[in-house]
Amino acid sequence: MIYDIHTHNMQHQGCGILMEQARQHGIDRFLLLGDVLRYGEFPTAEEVSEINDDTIACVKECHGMADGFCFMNPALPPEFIRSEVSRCLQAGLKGVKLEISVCCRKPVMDTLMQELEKYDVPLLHHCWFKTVNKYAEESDPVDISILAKRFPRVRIVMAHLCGCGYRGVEYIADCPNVYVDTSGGQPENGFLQYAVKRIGADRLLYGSDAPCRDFGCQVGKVLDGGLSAGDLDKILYKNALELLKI
Amino acid sequence: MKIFDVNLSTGRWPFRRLPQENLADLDAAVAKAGISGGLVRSLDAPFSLNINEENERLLEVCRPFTHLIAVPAVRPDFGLWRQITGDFAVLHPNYHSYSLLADETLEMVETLLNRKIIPLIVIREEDERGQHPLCKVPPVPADEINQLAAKFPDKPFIVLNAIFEYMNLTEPNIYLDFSFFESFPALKNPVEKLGCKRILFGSHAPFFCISAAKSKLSYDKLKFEDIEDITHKNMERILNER
Repeated sequence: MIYDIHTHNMQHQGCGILMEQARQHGIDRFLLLGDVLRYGEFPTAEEVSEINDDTIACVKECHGMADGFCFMNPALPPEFIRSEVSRCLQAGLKGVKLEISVCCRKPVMDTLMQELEKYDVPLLHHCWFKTVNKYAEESDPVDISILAKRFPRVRIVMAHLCGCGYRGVEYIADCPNVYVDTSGGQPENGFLQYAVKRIGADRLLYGSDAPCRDFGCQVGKVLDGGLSAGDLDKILYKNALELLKI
Repeated sequence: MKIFDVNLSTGRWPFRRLPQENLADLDAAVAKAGISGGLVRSLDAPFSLNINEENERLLEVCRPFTHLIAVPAVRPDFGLWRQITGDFAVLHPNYHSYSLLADETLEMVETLLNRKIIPLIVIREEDERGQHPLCKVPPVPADEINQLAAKFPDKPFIVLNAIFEYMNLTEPNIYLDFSFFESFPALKNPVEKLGCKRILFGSHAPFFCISAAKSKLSYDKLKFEDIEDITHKNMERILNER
């Protein structure tokens, strides 16, 4: 089985092509994180709700092949954050996705993190160590490690292993509540092997970032890692099912 | 299916160890993936002050692997390019800090082409976002490649590591390897816009995973003849018609 922890339902594409391509590459089920950049880096409450409405609809459309996360801008008013997270979880979404609206080391994260702790659902956070083209509020692994230590009971998935690199793995190595997904970036060789050696297969999750990336290329990155069958199973689906309580 | 990989490297990349940087390890991975041969360039050449030494070393390490072809690096300000022989030569204009349109570059390229040596132009070696902060190397400008290719319209140019969506390489004598192509599906945009006659199989191993490259061939709009073109026939045509 393969569970893809990192896909996006884009407004212009719909879910049909995601399901079709997933089947073609042996992906059994995937997590929809929303069309998170549809309104740019700092979406309003109305825009966030619209994106989440689409995700809820897409999950239904996929008839059991997809789960979904609530997208959020943590800088929005606390009352909105509480009501929107509650609404989305009641609709069946299984966690929260953050993109580049707020650098996650900032105190403005607190309301959202308290909600995640209350409901015991995970956060999946975009993350990258960038030399160039960094967004103003984009988080890196240092920010994730600070957040994880402030909220040790919240499970956090740090996205984009290849973008976080060796240093990224080191920064979260002593944060047992942080998982890393393999999504995105080019299908680079070596980072997964390093991460398995350093933090173990129990905290790694296969993800693609489709349709920004191709399922086959991103699965290939995991399959080429020379990993044991047991570690492969954990990374390809077991850890995801456990994290999402499926 | 015969697969010829135009984008393999060996040696030591200064910023990180690569799993198959040793050619014997890379050869084993290539063989396991069913790749029958390929072009190999030096990972040391982009940063070496003596590319001739790297070319000799590359030739030496490739010698036992008859299905792998060593591709020497050339640069216009390093006169030894005049002694280069073989079918291919690789150019790193960004790492070696020269313009493809400078007079000395044009002289070098023209001489190579007249000797039927096919130029490989490497646009980048790695995603710029992850480069070492003291070594930010921008990609080779598409505009320069287009202008260079337009000056020699009946000669082939092979461009490696282009991100298709960011690079408008318009000249019909430019061929591109697909290592950095990743639309959804990976080959959808390039095939729709370029057709299959200008796309070459390139894995960019050991930087990238070979399985990722092979998976691109599973794009369901490709006919068997298209896959044959991409995996080896386009390259055979380039060699026959140069």
